[in-house]
Amino acid sequence: MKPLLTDRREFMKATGLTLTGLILGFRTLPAARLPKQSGQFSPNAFLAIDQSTGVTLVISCPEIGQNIRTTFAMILADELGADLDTVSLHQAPPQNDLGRQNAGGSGSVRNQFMPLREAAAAAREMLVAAAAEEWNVSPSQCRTEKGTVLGPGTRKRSFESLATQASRQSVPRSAKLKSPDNFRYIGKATRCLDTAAITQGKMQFGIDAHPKDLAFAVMIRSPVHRGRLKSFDADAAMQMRGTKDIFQIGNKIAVIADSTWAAINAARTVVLDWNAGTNGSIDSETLFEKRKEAVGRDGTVLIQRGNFSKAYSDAAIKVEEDFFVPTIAHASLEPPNSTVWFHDGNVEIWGSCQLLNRLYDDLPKITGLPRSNIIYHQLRIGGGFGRKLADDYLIEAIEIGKKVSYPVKMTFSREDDIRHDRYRLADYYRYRAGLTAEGYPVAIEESFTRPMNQRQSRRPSEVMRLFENNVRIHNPVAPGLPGGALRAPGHNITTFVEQCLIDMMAEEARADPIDYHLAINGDSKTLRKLRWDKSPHRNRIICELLKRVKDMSNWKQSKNYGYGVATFSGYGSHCAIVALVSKQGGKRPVEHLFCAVHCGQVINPLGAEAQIEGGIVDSLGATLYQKITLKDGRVQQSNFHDFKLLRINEQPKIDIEIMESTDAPQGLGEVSYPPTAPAITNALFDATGRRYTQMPLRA
Amino acid sequence: MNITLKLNGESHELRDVDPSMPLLWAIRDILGLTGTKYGCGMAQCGACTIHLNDTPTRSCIMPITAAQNAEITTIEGLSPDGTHPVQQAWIDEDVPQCGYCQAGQIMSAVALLKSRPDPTDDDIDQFMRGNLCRCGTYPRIRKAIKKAAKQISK
Repeated sequence: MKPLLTDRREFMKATGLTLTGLILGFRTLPAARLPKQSGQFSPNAFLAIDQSTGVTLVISCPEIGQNIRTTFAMILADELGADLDTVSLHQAPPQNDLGRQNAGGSGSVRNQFMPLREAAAAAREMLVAAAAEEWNVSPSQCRTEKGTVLGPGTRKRSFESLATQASRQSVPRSAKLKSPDNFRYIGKATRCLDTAAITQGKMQFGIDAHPKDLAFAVMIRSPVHRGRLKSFDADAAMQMRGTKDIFQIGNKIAVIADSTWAAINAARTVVLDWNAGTNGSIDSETLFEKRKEAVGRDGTVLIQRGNFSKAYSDAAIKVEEDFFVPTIAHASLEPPNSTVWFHDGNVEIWGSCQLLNRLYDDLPKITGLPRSNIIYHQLRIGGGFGRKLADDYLIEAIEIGKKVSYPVKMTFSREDDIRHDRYRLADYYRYRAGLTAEGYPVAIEESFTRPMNQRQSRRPSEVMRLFENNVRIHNPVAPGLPGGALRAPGHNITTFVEQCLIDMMAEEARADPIDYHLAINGDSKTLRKLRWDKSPHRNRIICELLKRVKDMSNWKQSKNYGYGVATFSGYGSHCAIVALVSKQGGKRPVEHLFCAVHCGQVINPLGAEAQIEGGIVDSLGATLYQKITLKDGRVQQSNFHDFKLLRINEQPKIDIEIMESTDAPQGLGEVSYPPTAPAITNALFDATGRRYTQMPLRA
Repeated sequence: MNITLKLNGESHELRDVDPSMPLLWAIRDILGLTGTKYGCGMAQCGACTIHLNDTPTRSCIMPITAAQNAEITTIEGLSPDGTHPVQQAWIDEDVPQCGYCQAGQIMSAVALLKSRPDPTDDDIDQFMRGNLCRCGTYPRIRKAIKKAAKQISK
């Protein structure tokens, strides 16, 4: 029985490594860099070199399609001097010595780039020292390349053959990092190391866990958020072929069968009586009216600066607009699921979760077992987009697993997934913006209605930063659904409304939208003076990106298209997008998108482009189609026929340019998602003269 | 009832199964071959695409009885060593992100190239629109299909 991997001895056992090999984790680096507690400050990584198994690189973060396995392997292999073609990758379970082990906030590379390099560089120096000692030469005469240490003349030793001696070397206090000129992988287009396995159906996703004697479960949940189970009758369902067990867990009912399909069918047969509670009377139409009614009223003033009322009444130009962004679901192709097996006093879990740091802390509590009795296998995540940051589905699987003696896989059917998400919640916004006669922003009032935590709500919005006099008012309206993070959370709403507003301000100022963006991003001294945050670096980058997409798109050069622009800064990266829509009603909803991105140093251009492209396609689907609506508190959508993703025939042409930079690498998984929607609606305005202020566009 | 399925050239006898069970669940849950994916259960996403006598089929709505006596091919049986030109093109063009939908995408693409060895963008649109990708790999899928077409016609 392998326990939850907590130290390197266990790691070695788990990976079949012997104790004589060189194991290097952060725990062997200077104490100052050790994390005080799990998940704090000190991201770190393992690598292991063993006589028999060669070089193993430990991938600390969950793989969810952001290509982190390849990216981290590139970084580690490069700094170590290993050969990427021959290394093995080990997907880490939750540990307390790997630092940040999450897939979220576009943070993996941002947080781990330097720690990974430092860990690998220390290992390299120890290998070099071992070889130099044996050859009786100076370490400065040696270097590493393709998994070997090379010395003077023809001296050459493989890493594996040096493992034992290297492990006896003292750990360098601070290892010297490679000069970027010597990078073999970092910055070079590198294909995903897992593609061969994926194309042969060999790659195991969370949902593919299949231990012997596995049973299959679904959970029946209240159709109304926070509804209570009054009673149920499972007699008929129990009689169905394949049903193994049906039992109540709180306000839910677990249905276990010999296939997922049999479980889904049996669940449909269970007769249910719910007490829907107060949420049972919520309809989307009335919620919309409620939000519209609430917005702009005397709510909580979150931020106030200058004198809005006076500045607004004095303003030569006034812009007023309402915006609505609907609730949407994540709908990752792999629905939420987990497999759990309690036996012999232990628990074995197969999961595809985004937040491993929290699992490290919480699993003993959730399972009721000490860490030494928990084995967790982190499998590839078939898309999450924030859904699998929540752990509701893992907890449900564990609750079911606790009650049976056999391994059980709990899967959300697609209907379960659409109807029991942790949703991106709707918001209704109202703006009142005052401009000078020249179009310079002077006063803004921003009101919004979605529930938001303190920390987020006290942060001034991007657009507010342009105005000297401003007010931010909050009138939260209860949504009747549980909320959660969805790709670029917060930003995927605010960027839409703010970038539409800026386009409207440009219109009022009778300025070309790109010229106006350039002006408000720092070309004008007047505006620079007004800024809250003096961030010339950001403004300079945004202006460069705007000029870039202007060139790329031949901005307003064709009379056949409407052109729209939007920008976004977040996750350390910056993005400008120009959208082209056909004036004649083209074959595709959006004809062409041009995207320029600044993300600091690029680790893998192929992976970087994929993330940007993916964000655009994903956002386009949401912009055109996606909304979750309630009737009597029940989600009305259920599957991909009424909750639509973009299809290949609707995919626009996409041109991407990533600016060269020597800045530290930044996040890319989310940066292109927020500006896509406003670029499109601004293009639609250019094409039609009509403002599109509500999503989705094709309701 | 007992049903015999011929899957990737091998016969499997399923004992005492519900004849209306969709093929997808027999493949995944009973036979434990997990390359074929569940995405929607109503032929909306294409993640479960397999070949039934060379015809691309959504296994999530095909009852197992309808698959008896047919040659069923899943992603695992597409080629012995992963070197089918479509698999190779997927690697060359670095198509997958999360990878979950890609078995279905590949099975559809293989079928497309059988019926249209030199597909236009319109052909790709029409044939592949039944396969959803939540990560947005469509631009690379398109490139990979064209690359595989060239490879096959060589």
